[in-house]
Amino acid sequence: MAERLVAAVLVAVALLVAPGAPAQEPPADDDPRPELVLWHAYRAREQEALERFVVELNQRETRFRVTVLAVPYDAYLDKITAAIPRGRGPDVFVAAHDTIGDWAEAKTIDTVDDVLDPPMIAQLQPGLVPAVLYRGHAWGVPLAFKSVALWRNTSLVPEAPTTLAELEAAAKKNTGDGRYGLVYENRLFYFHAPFLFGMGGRIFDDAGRPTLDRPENVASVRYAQRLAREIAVVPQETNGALVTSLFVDGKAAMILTGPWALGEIGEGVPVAVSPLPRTADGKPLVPFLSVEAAFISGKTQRRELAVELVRALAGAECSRRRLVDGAQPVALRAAWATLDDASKDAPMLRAFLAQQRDAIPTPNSPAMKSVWSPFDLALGAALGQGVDPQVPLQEAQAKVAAVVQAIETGPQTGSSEGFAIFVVVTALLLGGAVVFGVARYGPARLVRDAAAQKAAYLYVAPAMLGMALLVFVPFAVGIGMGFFEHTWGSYTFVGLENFRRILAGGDSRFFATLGMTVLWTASNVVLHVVLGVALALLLSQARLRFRALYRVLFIVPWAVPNYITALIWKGMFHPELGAINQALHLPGFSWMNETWSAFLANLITNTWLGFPFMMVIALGGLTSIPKDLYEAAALDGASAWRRFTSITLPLLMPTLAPAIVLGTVWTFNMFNVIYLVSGGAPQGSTDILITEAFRWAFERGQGGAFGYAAAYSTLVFLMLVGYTTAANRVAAKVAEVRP
Amino acid sequence: MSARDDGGMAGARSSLLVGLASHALLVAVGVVVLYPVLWVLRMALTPSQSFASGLSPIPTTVSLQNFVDVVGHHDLGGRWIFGVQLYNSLAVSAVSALIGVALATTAAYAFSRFAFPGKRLGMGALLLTQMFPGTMMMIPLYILLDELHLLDTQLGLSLVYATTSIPFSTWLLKGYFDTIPIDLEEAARMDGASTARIFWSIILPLARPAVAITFLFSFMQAWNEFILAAKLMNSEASYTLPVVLRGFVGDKSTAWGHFAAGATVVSAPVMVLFFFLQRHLVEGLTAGGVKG
Repeated sequence: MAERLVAAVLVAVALLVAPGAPAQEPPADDDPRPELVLWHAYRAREQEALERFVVELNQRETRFRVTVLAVPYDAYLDKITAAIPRGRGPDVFVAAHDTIGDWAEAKTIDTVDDVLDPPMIAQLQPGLVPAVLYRGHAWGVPLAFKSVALWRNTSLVPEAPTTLAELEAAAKKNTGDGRYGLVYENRLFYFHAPFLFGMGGRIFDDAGRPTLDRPENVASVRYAQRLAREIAVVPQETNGALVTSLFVDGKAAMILTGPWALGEIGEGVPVAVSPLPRTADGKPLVPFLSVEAAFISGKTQRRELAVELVRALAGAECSRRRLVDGAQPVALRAAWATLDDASKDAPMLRAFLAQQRDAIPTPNSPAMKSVWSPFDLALGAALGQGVDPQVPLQEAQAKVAAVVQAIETGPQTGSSEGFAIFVVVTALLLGGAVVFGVARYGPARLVRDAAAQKAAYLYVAPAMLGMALLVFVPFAVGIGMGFFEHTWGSYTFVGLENFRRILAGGDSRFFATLGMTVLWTASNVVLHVVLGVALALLLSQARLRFRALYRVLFIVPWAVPNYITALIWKGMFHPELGAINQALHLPGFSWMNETWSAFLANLITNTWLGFPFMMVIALGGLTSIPKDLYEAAALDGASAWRRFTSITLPLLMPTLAPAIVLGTVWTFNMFNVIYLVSGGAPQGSTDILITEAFRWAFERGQGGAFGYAAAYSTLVFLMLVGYTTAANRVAAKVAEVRP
Repeated sequence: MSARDDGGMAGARSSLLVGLASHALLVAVGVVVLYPVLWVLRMALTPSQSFASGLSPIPTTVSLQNFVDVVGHHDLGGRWIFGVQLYNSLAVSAVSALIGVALATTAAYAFSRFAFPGKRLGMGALLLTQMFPGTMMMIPLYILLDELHLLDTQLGLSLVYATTSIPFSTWLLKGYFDTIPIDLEEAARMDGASTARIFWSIILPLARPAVAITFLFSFMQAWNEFILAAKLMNSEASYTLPVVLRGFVGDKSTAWGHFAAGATVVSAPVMVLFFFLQRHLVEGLTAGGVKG
């Protein structure tokens, strides 16, 4: 067996590094043209339209050739942030304009003032260029634009409502019996924005300071409350998937969404799109406008050629393809003349073009990044719990104002002296730990014992060396980041400031989150172990039939990637449409409105996901318990329970104990379930430390508060170290006591 | 206590009852386990890209179109790119699992059988790696792999997966090795067998079930991972299947039909692997008779 294992490893490694393995790109070395790399996050029709254009461009272009890569959206922004500073990123990439502020500050992108000149601007749809301006420069060339508009099922709503009164009337007529008049993601600021701006609201004043709690904003949220709670034509707790799915099933008469929904909606329903209706004062509702632009990497070595590629992407041929084949509302005005009005997509595309005139570009300043999540939370409180919008909006205002204040004051000036002290202290601590360890063991004894156990080191070395390089080094760097403040790619040493801020509880809810995390971990681990061991015992009955079948069946939750099943569970917990409420006859009960029920939803999902692991471990452990022990015990007249507690459990423990410790650690850091099922709802109260750290790193301004998040992670780490040390002590005590 | 054998008719009846109750319980658990997965299947088989909702997971219209789209995906150069990506996934998962298990078995053996200075430190260090949130290690890891020229290579990805799976595999294997009685080894040592010989010929064969399970764990971890793969790989021809799967999820919209079909295709090999390794486990059970 051993020889076969070694042979298999060698063959497998050879397979990977072998030239000519099918995964290798066909060699393009004979192509003399310099290569330009283009990244985008499009999929489906938009991806195909863009990539077909690139294929043709490569056939006729003599100055360069383009290699294109579609990156999953989830990983896209991160990948750009990681790759470009290392010079491993694209020369040109396509993305929405709202990250421009961060990218410009971090020099991820280069200005394109020379490309986006007045002649080019004259060819573009008016109103798009402001989106790509930041600090007086242009940073990207607009390719396309997207905003929400009103989609309606024409068999239910034949005429497009032009005022909010007409919208309400049409919605009322189509509500009831499991159907809804109007469906949109009303707890997301992005989808609420049309009402806010339409009713005269604003998020920043002229000086760029946040004004989230102004009366117009409060009134707009009151209106959203009216739609969802008073006349109840808008269902609670929708997400993007449910919006389109309700529409496709004919259960939603009207929805607010953008051109991206086209692929999901398909051809099942008679659909028409129109610009959003007007308010009672005759003012239009104003959605956010997202401008997708071509950006030139700040690190490209071939800027002149990159400029040519950007021109080609923004040019007539590419725009026509993106519009006609990709159903993408494009920036180039001339392309719209090529749109065949008989085509199926044309009326919809023209509706989005019309909507663009009444849309405002999402602010691209770094401060805007800090608005989304507090505003979403305020909407959640107003719509979920029905509180007066004034209160949560004032809270949101306070949060955002603090972040904007921090951005304005900039990072604290780092002191190189402080950094030197930090390095010396760290070195002394580490050195001291080594000296202490050696001294405690006794240097002479250490040398003697180590020499006597050379073989042991030989066995451990390969694993430890690999881990030292690929796990411990990044890990140490990660810990070190906690002592720095990160702003746009540059790190400033701030010593223990991050830790002080977290523990002082000033701008985070560390201790409440910690309590939730402990509760979450304990309840999960108990349920996983009890269920896992119980099922393993049932399955290890000698005479049980279909045993193999059950075993394979129960492993299913663990075999399907958890980011898929977590989403399915979230759908199942939906108050109106979810299977759980339908099965329990609890129509309208909202799982995500109360902390306990949202927690329960997370717990159920994670128990479903987690018990198979413990079951498999327990099954493995049960096989190593000799059968004759049970026979002997049965002869002695020991009861089933007694046999379980005095034979099964003690002999299972050696296998189970490490699994429990590991399971605890994993559950403590279980990101996907919390993030995807409750998303922290309500009000972030079901967030655990790891999701909170993630929000600091990626959702709260300044190009990622990586330092703060790293400090958070370090605290998580220290707590787990404390826990496992204690757990091991206890386990050792128990082992001593047991005869 | 009710299950105590009293002998005779009562015993037969009670064991029949226990059997029935067991099956009733197991079937109930099976329904709960399968229900959400049936939803994935329903979406995969429904010829639409929207999310399915409601109570019944039985599809109303059945079509294999989503599977055809996903599995039959060719790139614009006419290459069967799904096949390439499937190969990548298999190769990366198999290699990382083999490397990970090979390194973990040797390390676990040392941790289980030798008392050497640094043993507790080493075991502690293994466990420590499980406690630091992965997101914070991403940036340093990226830079490190770039410096090692392993960025955008399958070997690099496999090594990262292998090293991340080692701590867990080692703990699992050490736990299992600890349950193997030391008498066998002592007897072999009396006969003059070397440590290496004992490890290869006695311990490894006896630990086959645990090795199988750790292999499965390591394989699956690599097979399902997409965050690292999406970040480290820079061409469609080097993507693994989870990256492709994640590609069906957009900013504000998702191709649910394709996503579900892809999820089904991605999950199937793991199920098959488990099925076969499970038989291996049963085999190991009979071979492990000597352990008593």
